[in-house]
Amino acid sequence: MTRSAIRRLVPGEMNVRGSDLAMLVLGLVIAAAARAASFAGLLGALGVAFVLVNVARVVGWPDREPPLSRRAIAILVALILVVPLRDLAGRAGDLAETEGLSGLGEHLADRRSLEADPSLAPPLVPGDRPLTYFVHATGEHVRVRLGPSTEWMEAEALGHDVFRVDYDPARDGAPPPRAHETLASIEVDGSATTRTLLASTPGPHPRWLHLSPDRTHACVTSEETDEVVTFGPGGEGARTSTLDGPTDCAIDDAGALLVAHRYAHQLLSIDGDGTRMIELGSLGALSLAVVGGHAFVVTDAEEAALIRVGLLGEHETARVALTGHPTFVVSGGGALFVTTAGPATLSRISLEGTIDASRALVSPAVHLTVSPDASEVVLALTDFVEDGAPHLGNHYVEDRLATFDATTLALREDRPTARRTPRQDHAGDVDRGASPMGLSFTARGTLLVAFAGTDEVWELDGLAPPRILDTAPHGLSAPFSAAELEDGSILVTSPSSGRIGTFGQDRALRSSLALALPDRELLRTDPDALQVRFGERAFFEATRSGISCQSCHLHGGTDGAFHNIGGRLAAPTLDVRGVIGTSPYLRDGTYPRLRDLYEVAVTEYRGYREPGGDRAQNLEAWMRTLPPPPTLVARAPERERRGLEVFVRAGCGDCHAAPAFTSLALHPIEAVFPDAPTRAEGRVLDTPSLRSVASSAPYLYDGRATSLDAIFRDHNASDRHGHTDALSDEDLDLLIVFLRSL
Amino acid sequence: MSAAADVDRLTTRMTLGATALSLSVAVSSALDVSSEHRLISGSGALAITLLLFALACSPAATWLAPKRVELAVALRRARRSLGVLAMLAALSHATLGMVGYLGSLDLGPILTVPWLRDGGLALLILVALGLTSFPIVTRTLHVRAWSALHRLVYASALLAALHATGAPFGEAWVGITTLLVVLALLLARPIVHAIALRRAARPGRNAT
Repeated sequence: MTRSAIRRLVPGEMNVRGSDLAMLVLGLVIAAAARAASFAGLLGALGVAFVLVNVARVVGWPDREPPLSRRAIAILVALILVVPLRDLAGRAGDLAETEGLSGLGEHLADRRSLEADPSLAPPLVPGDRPLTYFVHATGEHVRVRLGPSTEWMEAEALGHDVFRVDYDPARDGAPPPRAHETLASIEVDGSATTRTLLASTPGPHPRWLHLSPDRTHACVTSEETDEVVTFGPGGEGARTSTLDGPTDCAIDDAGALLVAHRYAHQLLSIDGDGTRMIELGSLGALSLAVVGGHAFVVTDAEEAALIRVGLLGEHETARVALTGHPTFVVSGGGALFVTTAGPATLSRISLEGTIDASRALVSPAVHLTVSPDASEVVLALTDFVEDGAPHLGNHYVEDRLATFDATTLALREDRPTARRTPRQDHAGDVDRGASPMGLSFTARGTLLVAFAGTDEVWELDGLAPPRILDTAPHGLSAPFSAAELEDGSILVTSPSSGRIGTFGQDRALRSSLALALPDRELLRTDPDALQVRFGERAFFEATRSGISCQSCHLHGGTDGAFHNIGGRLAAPTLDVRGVIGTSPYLRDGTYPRLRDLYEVAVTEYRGYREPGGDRAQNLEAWMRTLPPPPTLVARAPERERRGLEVFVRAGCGDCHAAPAFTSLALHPIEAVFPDAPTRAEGRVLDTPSLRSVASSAPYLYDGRATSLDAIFRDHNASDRHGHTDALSDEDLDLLIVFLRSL
Repeated sequence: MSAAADVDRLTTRMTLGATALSLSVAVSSALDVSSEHRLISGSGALAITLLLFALACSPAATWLAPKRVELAVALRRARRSLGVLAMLAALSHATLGMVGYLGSLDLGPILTVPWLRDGGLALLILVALGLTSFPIVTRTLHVRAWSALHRLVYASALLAALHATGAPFGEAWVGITTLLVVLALLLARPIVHAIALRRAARPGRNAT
């Protein structure tokens, strides 16, 4: 080989020819002129340039340097390219959006975290409630420790490198109160690996106020801090510790306080004689009513039901199976009124346990109350259509109070609450009456409504204009409930502020019970916690259109209804809880980061009424702290292991991969559901996580499957959403047992 | 044996060696997947690895040229073979993907999802490059400016890396690693060239 060979291999000029340069310049000019904002567009422009240059060469354009100096050529090229390059740079954001490049770092970080060996999900340690973790690890024996302040926990092997760990902060130790990160250790066959997890210890959240029958006392629970606050005749509050996860409370005729719990399986009864436990078996309770010596609780554990227990200690004395997920039970006029979500219903049930009347609702009740004469039951709703199909577009979310006949449940009055005021910027802007929450009648028969979206409490007297109490100036942002005591004073709770205010008859603040630090103090001591608090408020805060996150994601969960945000495919609302570490978000994976969801509020719902800091970051900070809902079924390890076998055999784990039971990947809908009745051409589907799937009906991207069973038996004819055709009935049952255990 | 025969032998060895290594990567990638998607995952890994080997040939040849001319020439020749093999592997991968994953030969779904679109574009470029790697094709089509077209191999590799990063059956590190390797090769190109030029200019150090 000779020097000439080397010259060919190492050319002096990097082999850039005039025609190459012309092709590049022409390609960029064409891309700019065609306003290309995608890889395909850019390549198409280069392709056109390639053809044009080749045609020029074929017809005689010589491939030699033009009679200009190199500097002159460089200046000429720069001058030609300056406008197209500026134009293309201006569309770089659009290009990144189109090609899924924006937020790619966050998405890849989440994927790497889930694909590591070992990996653990969710990457969150709640200091206030039990949580089940799944670990994916290659090994036989796995132990997990969620931080220096927690104990080592043995993981239960389910097979196929999947392990399960049940964590209970009360038993295994909680992260330090102000820690926002914790270093977890995963030990696989003696070899330990560390993972950084988000630590979250929420402060007190007083939510639903309940009055004693004579209105002299009131109570409210704080599920996050395991306490109940009671108020006596003077409006003075007293805090009492309870069991794990108090969801609701009630005060009976004799003045005894009863508390229901989500995680503890007992009712707590506190009276002058002391404290008693009333066993509920293996059930956690979501809501509680006390009538005639009996407590009535609704539960979602195992199966949805209304349970009656005797206050003298008798175990379950009656049970009514419910359809959907129960949300509230209230009593009035010798009957019980129960609401459910997914499907949304309102039922009147006798104290003996028979369903007297039931009706479907378009969206689940946010809250409900019964009038003092027990003739009416009033529901706070985000949408309502009398005997009609639900609205599909979420611009139809219309906050309202619907009044039903307490006997027949026939509609008596449907009153939209969203109001326009002179502060509105555009026609349709909403300034008042958004996101109604807790309802309560006064002794006079007027209705108190707390509006978390617009920081106010209304007192409604018939059709007269409401008497409005603005709560935010008193440190009571996003109020949840209001109740009037016998002396005319009004109690107002604000979970996001951890505060309960007492207003006098003149509606001036008389006292304020701060269960949590005020914002100013939190800013000084724990700014990260303050950001989470602001995020929680932003979740309830109404946009100019009157819609808030709460409008569809009721209480941080889901309304189980269908919405088509911005003209996308109408799909059931996703649960907000447990989304940490599962980028991208929304059904079609449009948003790579949680904070990007803020764009929906700004573009679809006209933004917020007032400036409020970095709501996007705040919302993200709060949503990241929400653990997935608890698993509702009792454990059946052997059947779950066999179910996991079926899960793997059917190929479910290829997309719903452990430990988060999602691979975070996007799929064309027609590839997975080629025979879906809903038009899905050109639509993308983000693989949803299967955590808490038992409580997230309806199923599939368009919600056409109403049960887990129906997914496989009725809606997988193509056998592409898992290979379930060949599965026996027993296999399918086992698969569903496994899914329900997630 | 003549220098030309040495180069031919080296070219064959390098092509076979790189293909064997690529197959090994492909098999390991296929084993990571738990079901019928193994073939899709494996063929994709094979195409990407072959493409990376093809991309690495140019800077390696430039680096070696001042001292090991035969090896450098063999690398330049192996680049074409590896590139064509990468194209064939990518075509197989696309066919398997359309049948096994998309369930039809309908191109519509490919346009909807970014990672599928990236893969489609990468394949389109590879096919264009593969076809213009044969002089008979360039002559027949009157393609004169094919060398500029072949610089798009980097675009193809970047798109293939993005495709691998977003693809559901396999791990993200494959795409991330590919992305990093392509960017490193892209950056290395002018640096290696400058160093090789300097080395080639030194008197008495050239291979004979």
